[in-house]
Amino acid sequence: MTAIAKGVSAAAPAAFGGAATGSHALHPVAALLVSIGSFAFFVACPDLRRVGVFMVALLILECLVGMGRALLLSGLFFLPAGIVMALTMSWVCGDPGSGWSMLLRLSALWLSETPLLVVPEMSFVRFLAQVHAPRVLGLCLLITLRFTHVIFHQIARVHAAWRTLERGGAHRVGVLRMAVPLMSRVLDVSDCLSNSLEMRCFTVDARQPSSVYRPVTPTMRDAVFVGAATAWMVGALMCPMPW
Amino acid sequence: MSSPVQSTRNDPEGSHRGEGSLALAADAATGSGASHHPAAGSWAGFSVRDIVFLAVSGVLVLVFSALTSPLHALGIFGLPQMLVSPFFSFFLAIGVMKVRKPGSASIITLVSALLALLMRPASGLTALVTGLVAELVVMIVFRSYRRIASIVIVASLVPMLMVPVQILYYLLVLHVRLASVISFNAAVGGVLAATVILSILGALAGTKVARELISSGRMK
Repeated sequence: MTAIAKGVSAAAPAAFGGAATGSHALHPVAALLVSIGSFAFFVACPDLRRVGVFMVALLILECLVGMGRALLLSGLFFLPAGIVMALTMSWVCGDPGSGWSMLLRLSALWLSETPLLVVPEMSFVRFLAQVHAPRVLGLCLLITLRFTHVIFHQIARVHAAWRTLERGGAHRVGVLRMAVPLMSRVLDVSDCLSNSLEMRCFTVDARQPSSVYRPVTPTMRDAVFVGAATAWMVGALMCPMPW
Repeated sequence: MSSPVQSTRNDPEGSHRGEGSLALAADAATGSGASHHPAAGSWAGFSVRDIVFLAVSGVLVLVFSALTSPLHALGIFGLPQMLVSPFFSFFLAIGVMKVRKPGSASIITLVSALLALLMRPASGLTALVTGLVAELVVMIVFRSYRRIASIVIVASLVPMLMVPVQILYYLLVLHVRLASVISFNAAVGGVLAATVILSILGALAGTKVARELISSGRMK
């Protein structure tokens, strides 16, 4: 558990925060369009050959627009998860084919989710401010994206404390008892965050129109990315397969 | 000394500086917001503290649900809902018990469904609808979260309702025949019964832990 938490804590800021905070980051709408479009293609297309062709094409496209590092980082999560799920599926169904199918589905999910993972969370919040969405939505989105690994680390610490009890002692201390220190830590985290927000005069009152966020503008790169992904999708659907 | 507004105007990239932490915090310090007291700003009756605690509770649901995800591949209908039900109801009960405002359960569900909404809109939407329906039912019956029973019911209803909402999604949105999705057998029956039991147990455990935290003064 501690090892997983360390891995998540190390990978999450790199994957979500520091990977692409500059002006070269993808526009959130472009990432969302490609992500949803490609996922819909993977789900709806019955021909596995066409799915395979589109997967390879999308992988190349994503590498070309600078997502190579993000693909590697997210692959570190999706690949082990895919292998575990594929092995479980094969064991339950008694058919290796279903395992391969699960691995293919996870790989498709990996490719379709990576565009969303490389968009910095600030771009989502800026875009939400731009379209005058409730501030609560932006706050919730930031907490979801930024605090997942923080909470995971807190769980790992409480789990480590549970394991430091005397031999066999952990069996006498129920899971429910360990929920109290966990929630105590969670209360500390949320109090700390609330104090920080209030000290900076943050309010969820949406009547204030002013914002420090600059608008997120789509670039030519976004248009090319969406256009190329759509073209690949149509091509994979229409072109006759040579085999 | 320049105000935050001036510094932002002079430096278009100024908003990047605070992005290591939640730079959203600086949003309200601009313009007329600087003279506005933070305690006065609320959204639908929720203060910043309420929203933050509910959002962190939603993240807890998300993390524990993610830990069970490898077992979702077993392919038994209702199994994913069964696996997440105790965590969902547990943290939902604690979150609602602390805030006790109508809409609390929906916010926790929204946060836990937010990533799913971005990645798989269908599953995110079903989770969101579940939270809204459960909260609506409890609000119609109890009108508030003053009674512990209302908290236990809303916390156990949300994971329980996920299964029927999922079936409705198959029927109404995907237009799939029910028989092709579910084959009612002992395993499915057991899973559905376990979902109900685990949801109720999770909600009861959540209220118990919340009471302990309140009695120890950690939670107000």
